[in-house]
Amino acid sequence: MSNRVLIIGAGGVGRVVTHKCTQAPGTFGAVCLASRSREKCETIAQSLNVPIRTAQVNAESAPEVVRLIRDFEPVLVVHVALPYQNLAIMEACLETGVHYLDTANYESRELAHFEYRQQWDYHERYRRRGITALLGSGFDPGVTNVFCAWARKELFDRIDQIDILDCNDGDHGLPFATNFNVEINLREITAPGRWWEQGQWHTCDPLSRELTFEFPGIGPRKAYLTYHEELESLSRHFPEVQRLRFWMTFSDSYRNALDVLQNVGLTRIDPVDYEGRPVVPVQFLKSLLPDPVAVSERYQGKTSIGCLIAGEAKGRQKRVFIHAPCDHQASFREVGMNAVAYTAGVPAATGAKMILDGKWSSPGVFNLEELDPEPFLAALPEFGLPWKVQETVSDASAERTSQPAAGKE
Amino acid sequence: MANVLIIGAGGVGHVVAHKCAQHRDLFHTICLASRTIEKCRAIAKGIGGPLQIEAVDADRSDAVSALIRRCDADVLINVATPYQNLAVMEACVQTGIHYVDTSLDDERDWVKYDYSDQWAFHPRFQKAGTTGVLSIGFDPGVVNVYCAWAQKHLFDQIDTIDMIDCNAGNTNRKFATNFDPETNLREILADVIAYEDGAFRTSPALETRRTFHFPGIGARETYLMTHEEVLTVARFIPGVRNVRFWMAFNDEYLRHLRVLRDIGLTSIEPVLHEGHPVVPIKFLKCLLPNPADLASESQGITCIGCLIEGRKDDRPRKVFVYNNCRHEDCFREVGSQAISYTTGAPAVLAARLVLSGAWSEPGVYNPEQLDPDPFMEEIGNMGLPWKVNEL
Repeated sequence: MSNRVLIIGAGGVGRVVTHKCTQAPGTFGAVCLASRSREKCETIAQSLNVPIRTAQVNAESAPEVVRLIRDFEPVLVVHVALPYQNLAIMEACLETGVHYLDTANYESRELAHFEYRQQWDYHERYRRRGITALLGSGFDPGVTNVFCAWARKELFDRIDQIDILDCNDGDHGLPFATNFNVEINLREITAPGRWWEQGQWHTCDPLSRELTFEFPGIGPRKAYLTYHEELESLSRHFPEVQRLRFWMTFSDSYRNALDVLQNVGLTRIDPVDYEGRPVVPVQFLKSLLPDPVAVSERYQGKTSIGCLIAGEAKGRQKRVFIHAPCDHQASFREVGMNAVAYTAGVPAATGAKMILDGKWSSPGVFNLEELDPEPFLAALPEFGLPWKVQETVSDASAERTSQPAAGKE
Repeated sequence: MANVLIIGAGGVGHVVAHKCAQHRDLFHTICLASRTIEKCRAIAKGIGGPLQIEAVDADRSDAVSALIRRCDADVLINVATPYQNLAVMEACVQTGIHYVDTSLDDERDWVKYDYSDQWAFHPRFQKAGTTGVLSIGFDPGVVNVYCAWAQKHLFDQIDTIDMIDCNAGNTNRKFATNFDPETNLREILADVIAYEDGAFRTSPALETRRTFHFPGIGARETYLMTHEEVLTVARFIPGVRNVRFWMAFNDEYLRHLRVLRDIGLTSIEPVLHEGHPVVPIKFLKCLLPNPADLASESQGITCIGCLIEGRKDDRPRKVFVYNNCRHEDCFREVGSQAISYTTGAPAVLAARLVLSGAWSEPGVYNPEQLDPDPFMEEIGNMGLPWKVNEL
């Protein structure tokens, strides 16, 4: 039986995954790309060197996904559409006995909140069905989780602190644009900051804590404490770690624009009446802003995402930054998308390879740090993301708090 | 005794209705009409004595004509949106009644900035024996009269007029506009037209700055802006070389405005959203506070006036003619903030002068074309006293 793969989602990440899967015919069999808009699938199909199937599907409907799976008969579904659809697709995979992979945590449309509980709840059923679900196999979450697992296995006797640092130093020359789906992006960064320390969750006002970090190949950049979904799974799977945080860089002009949009209510997710019809402000903003795919071509510069890990090795304090740099223009030349989509799509293809090659074959629902990091990190550069370990880096604890609003949850 | 018809039930309509009700010696019956009758009803509730309310689509001159006949109006005060001026003027000329408005007519889908269409009514008003007073709010309006009055009494020759406008008031909101957000943002972001060295010159919005000292407020940074009185004052004040309009904005206001503009939220071009066209600036208006709702929380004062330079008796002269108005006082008197108040009160005085015969020349006029004296005598009683500082 050939390793057929069904990819759901034809945005920027879907484009990268489809390119990467079709670049590795030894691992991947026939590919079907499905999305709400078949036209978007066709556009991607035309950019490939090999033929693929395309299909139209409403991924929020499990029965529709089941029908598509029965028709195409894949061994794995790679879900890179919206996080609102995770549960419906997981349900369809369970029913049909097909492996599942996604890149972002489930979220409901109505509530800007994400947690793994509903997806973790599938573990026993997946285990009994003999299939594997990989949750969060993008870059962050995804590669960052694998970096942590690898550091624990290979570099440290004890890990004390993990700071995940995400820098997009690209410039698109536009007044304001988001790196991926506008709505998801804004939901993420307008939420309160949240981190794990001494066995408890702590919160602070959105973007109220910042630090400056010297990103290799980029330089010093200001990053803000943000809640990101891998903190939840890492806090569960690294109970020994004292402090876990996530930081993301935003330029001053991005922050300024975001602040204004919030002040006037454009990031609201509840509908307002516009000439007798309900319009959700953040969705209208999405219609107004440049499409992330269109922004892609204009992007210059690099991204750098990695884990700053501190702890003890052989009786000595140790601090490393494990990271993978990526260049926007190089990514665009290769697959027609910028580094933000590239860094999310390449690990999805790498995770898919782990399942198809049988390297990660335990049945059940897993976050990436629970699995053997070696084969994944060996395959990642082959798929286009070489990674590096930088020893003795500067301390990330020199952060500033712009508002003394931090508190325990 | 005469009957007045007010069209428009926004913040300015609210003030005009209250001011007319304060002058029942002249206004026998008062009718307030708007597209949305609930807005008229809400205003009527706060007014002592009878007030007729009506629903009207002011884009249709036949509907306005029918309403004029129904309420037997002698004068119409148009304080709806500026897109309706021409239809309303048409109704006035057809029914033979006087007309007053507070801003230049405009088009919904492009910015016009030209009085030609309103001036074209001049011979028809002359023939009907009625008067149309155009743009008699505060600015345009009172400032135009200040210029005419200075020309008549203070100067032999005026060289330069800088009209300056500062709202130093505060609200509890992070970002709010002084009046209708759509009209306000359009004018602030329009290319600037100023009259300098005897010619109209265009420059980009929000770039030319100057600091002025505002009495009662202090020094404030202002920006050169397009405003309709520049067009008419440059034309009707003989020999003037420079006519400019400056408005004070604080940094927070500008920061918001620039982002909204850069992202495209102030655009009047429809964007396709979920299969339907949505005009960004109209959608933004749905999100921003309704200026009328800010009346109770507005605090502080406004200062609007004309800084005029020229010669008198062969010597250079420089004066500042201005008004200070306090938001809280306006709220106590009529339940409005100062921006609506300073726009509505002059329109009521203009209607009064037209009816009393002081401004009764048939035809269509901008305020500076009319005799400033009766207006300057009465405007203080209407709530907007003025001062002259010799500089």
